[in-house]
Amino acid sequence: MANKHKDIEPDLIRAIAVGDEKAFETLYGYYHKKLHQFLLKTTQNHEETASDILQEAFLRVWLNRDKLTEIENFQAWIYKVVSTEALTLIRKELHQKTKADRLKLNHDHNETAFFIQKPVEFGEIKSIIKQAVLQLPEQRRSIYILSREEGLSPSEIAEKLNISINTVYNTLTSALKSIRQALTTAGYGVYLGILIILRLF
Amino acid sequence: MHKERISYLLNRYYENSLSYDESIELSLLINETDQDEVINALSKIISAAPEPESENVDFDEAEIKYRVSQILALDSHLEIKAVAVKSKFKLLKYGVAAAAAVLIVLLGTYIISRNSFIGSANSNNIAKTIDVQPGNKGAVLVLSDGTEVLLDSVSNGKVIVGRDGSKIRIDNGQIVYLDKTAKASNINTVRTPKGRQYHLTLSDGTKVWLNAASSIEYPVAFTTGARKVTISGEAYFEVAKNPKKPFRVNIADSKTNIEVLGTHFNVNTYADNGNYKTTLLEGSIKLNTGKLEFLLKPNQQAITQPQSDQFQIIENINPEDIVAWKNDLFYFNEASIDDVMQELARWYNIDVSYQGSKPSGTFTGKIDKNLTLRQALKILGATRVKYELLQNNKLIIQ
Repeated sequence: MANKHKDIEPDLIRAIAVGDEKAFETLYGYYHKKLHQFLLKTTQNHEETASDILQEAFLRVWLNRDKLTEIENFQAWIYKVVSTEALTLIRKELHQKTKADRLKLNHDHNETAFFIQKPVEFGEIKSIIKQAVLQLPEQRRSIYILSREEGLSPSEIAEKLNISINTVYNTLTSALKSIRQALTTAGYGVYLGILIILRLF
Repeated sequence: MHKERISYLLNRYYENSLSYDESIELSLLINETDQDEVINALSKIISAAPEPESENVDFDEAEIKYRVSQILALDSHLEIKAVAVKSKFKLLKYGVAAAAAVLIVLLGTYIISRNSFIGSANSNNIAKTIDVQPGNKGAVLVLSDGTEVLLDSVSNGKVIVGRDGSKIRIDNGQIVYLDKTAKASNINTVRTPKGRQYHLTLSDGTKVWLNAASSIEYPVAFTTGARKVTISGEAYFEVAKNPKKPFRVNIADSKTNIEVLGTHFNVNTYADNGNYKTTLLEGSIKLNTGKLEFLLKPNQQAITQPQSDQFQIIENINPEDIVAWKNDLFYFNEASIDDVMQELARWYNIDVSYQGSKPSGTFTGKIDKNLTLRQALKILGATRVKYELLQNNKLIIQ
């Protein structure tokens, strides 16, 4: 199974890069168990937090999908993304633990700070994205909507609008850039790790 | 040189065997070491971990589908109508299997009874014990001046005069306004307490069934513009067609509203699990939560939450199950003990409390709402729920 996945992973990633939802789900499914297990241990078995962190990692994958093909080794990359999150949690946990022990307090795992961390505000992100899409030039917006709302593949869009497939690719990329720009402006840039690809590779 | 030590300590951390001194050491080392090195060490821990055995594959699958559908919904289904409208259900369709799977899995895998238990309890040997009579037809009508009128079988046919002189007559659920001078824009409310449900017809011919502990606010007459009503609790509508006056249902205390294009649908806003459930039986409706907008197709159910963007669309709903309540049946489909008891509490006007751990598992089936509480409990009891019924309408589940 693992070998089989390794063989198809580059294809999956190319498909995700042009908006294939099914491929994205397959990729998520492949990494889910192992990363979730790791995050469960990191959060002292806090199910919801572990699932949220994993989901946020893949939210970054999705919002950066056009750049995925630039990543040489996706597995190493996603492990790093998740490890970065884990490190933040470990820091807080260690800080709490040593502080609590110094003060001779009972250290209650359920009370530690990182479990209260705010989950991603999906509603807010969605409305920022919507505004960004509304502000796209008409042609760009139409192509984006054909892709995301109608679920058409780039070649189907090219055929429908009688334009070249490269134009479709470039348009989807620039639409995503505008979306990321809008999210960054709204203060979600660092949060969503939009820069993380550049930093890690 | 820190590298090996950090790896060692992090491994201990993940084995849950870090001593206090090691915690301090790790804390210091993490601050002194280049972050990329720490991240590399953590990545290696992930790599080295054996592939975990899945305890519940169905649950994993449902979880993955749910999480993925949330991500994908962020940049699609934006309700931007630049191109075509027909795209609206693409993502929803995708989410259906996920939604169904999540519901089934989350409600528990142990289903006590899959068989219908349509009730016909034998009441012979329970005559002298404490019992609670089932709910009945009835409601309270609140006129715009605050006058409250009891709507029950006794008031049928009577002429009632409000404090402001307005005259009404109740004709089999139809509230007839006799006073022609009554302002059409006056807002009246029909409200059902626990243990009562009611069927009324609005001035435009729209039929409304109110479940227990529910209400509807409506104008005495619909004049120009949209026909607007506000509901709470649960209601089933058969809206009279009038293309010139769209019908809009607002849900009290929320931004959610339903724009109706002439149709039959059920809205459940009891929010027992924080969920609103809107089910379309015929025609077409547009559900707007303030943030999200859906066009529902017949036999689809939208599960939304008043305060969040989470939603699920369930496909292939059996309409009879949804309106079972108005046909005097309780209908439970893999419902938890909480769901079942909340439903019973509303109809029998009882207080339910739990002693010890709550019974696990789910309930599936139908129970006649004309049974007494004890008869209904007997049917549930057949599925191994122990209970004690006390005076003052108190029910204890053991």
